[in-house]
Amino acid sequence: MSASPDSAGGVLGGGAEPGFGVLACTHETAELGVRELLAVAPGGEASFYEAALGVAGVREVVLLNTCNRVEVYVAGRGVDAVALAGLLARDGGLPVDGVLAHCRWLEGRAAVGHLFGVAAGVDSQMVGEGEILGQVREAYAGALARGATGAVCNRVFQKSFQAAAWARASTGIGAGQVSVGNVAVELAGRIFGELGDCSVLVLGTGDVGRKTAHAFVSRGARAVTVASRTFANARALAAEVGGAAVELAVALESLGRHDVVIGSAAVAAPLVGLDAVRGTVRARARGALFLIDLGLPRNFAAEARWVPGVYLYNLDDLSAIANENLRARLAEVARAKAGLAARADRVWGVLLRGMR
Amino acid sequence: MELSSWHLFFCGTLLYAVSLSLALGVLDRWERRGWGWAPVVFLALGFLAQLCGFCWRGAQGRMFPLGNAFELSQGLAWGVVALTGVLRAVVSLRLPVALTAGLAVALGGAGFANPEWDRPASAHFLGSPFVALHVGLVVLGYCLLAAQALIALVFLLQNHSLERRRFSGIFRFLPPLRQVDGAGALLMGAGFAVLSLGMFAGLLTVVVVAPSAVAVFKFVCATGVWAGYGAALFLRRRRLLPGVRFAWVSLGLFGVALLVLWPANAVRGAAPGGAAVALDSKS
Repeated sequence: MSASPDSAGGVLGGGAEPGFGVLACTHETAELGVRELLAVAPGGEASFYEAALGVAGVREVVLLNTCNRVEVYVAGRGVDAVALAGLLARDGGLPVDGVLAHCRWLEGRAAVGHLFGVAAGVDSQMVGEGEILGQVREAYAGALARGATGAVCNRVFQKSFQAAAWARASTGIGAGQVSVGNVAVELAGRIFGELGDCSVLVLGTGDVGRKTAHAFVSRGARAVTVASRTFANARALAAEVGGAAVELAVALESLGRHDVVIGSAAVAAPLVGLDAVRGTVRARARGALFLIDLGLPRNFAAEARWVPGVYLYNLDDLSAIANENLRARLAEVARAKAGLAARADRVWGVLLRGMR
Repeated sequence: MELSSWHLFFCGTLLYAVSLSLALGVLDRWERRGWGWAPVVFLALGFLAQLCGFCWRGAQGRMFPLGNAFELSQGLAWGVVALTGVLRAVVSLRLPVALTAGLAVALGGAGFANPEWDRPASAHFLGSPFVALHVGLVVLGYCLLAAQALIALVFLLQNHSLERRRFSGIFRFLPPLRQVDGAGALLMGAGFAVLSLGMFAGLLTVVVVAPSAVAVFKFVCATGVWAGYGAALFLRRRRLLPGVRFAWVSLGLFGVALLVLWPANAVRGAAPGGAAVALDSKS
């Protein structure tokens, strides 16, 4: 049994032994448009599993269907990758050759190693992202619930969760946040600890501000207030994040009531000047004030950074931290891959002995 | 060479130093390999060694083992480690082990750097329960204030990290600013309260036990430190001493408190009293 990473064709377990393989369409092999075509539509999983288990030689199947990858893991004997591609082609409206051209077919140890890398996030577009592990778990649970897994997939997937946990705990691939919104949330955590008690004010409804507000809510911030020149926009974002909407002038008068102020309004001059920040800090009883300036031109006077008790971060600061974190993650990829490869070797060795 | 309490104290400080070097040198790598507990274990072992040292010395001298500057330095190191453990367990305040171990090494090591500190204590003083109460309360107060100074240092490091955008190395392991700030104020309040009780016990001692032993210098030093902490708390309560300034003031006050501790103790040692109690030998 061998891996054939450059070609999507192949027959699994061609010899006497059953095998394990994956037909993988990922961000590395196909553009977003193609991945969209190949993705199994919501609600279509049941018929996919039914069809996949009907493919000659297939005994076990797990479908991993995310925005960055469509992967079909199979265990069985004499499974033809072309037949699996046919399943994806059927729903996507692409010819089988077209599907194969945008997929990789991996077998045996290489397929196990691939799954370990996927679960750990080293194969992700955003290296080290943690969401993928949950998606792999969900995919496996879905297959398990449908009775589509057996001894091989159960072992490989369960071991992949352990391998991913090791990689995240023992290497730096998941350390630090790599998006502007999450970096802002992490910094807020450094200042305030738990965000449940934090009051967050969002000035403006710009796209980055909107994402950052969502990031705060997803990390536990409950008191979110949105203010905008266009009150309807403020109300819409407030409804999205479960917060309250106020007029911009009212919000600017009450800066001191909030712990975190996110500025993402389109302005010609700073909304909040140095004196306003000084006055706010002086009047505050709640200690530090975290200002996140996501606007361009800036929403807060740059000199506010030097006011004691104020932590002002602009878009450049947050991007620099995100990039630094990303570089640190990338530097850890080789170590993570080596550890994952060793684990894949062991798991595949045990599987081979069991198959014989 | 016969084992003595001195050796146990030395062992304790050495273990703190091992904890410090592990925490500083290889924490990052070890933590990722699941060895992050190693510095904590060495810190705990150092704590136990010092505890045994106190028990040994107390049993041998048949008195409260905080009778000279050497013992005070060991007591402060021991108390700081104990308090940071309590803070970790009770309010989930995870102070970096490196800082705790560093302060413990500095305090404990000061005793070994000054062998003359370990001179015989006056049995006249430490044989009295009033004096023991006074010394015990004051040392407990100092431990609380030492832990508070440590927290102030953590606050300043976190503030520096946030202001200068530095998040690698030890900065990665600092607790949230608000939590540190709150804990610092509480600890200073507790330290001040215990110190006040200790001073009251000291006054009682002077009145009841040895009216002739009033050392003006010691009284002025102690009152000055006590008043300094009182003023800092008052200003903090009136919101006139915000986070960063409060942290700097805390560090300054603790530095002064340490400086006056030794002269004050020296005055006590020189005060008229009964027979000196011999300490175990380190040789």
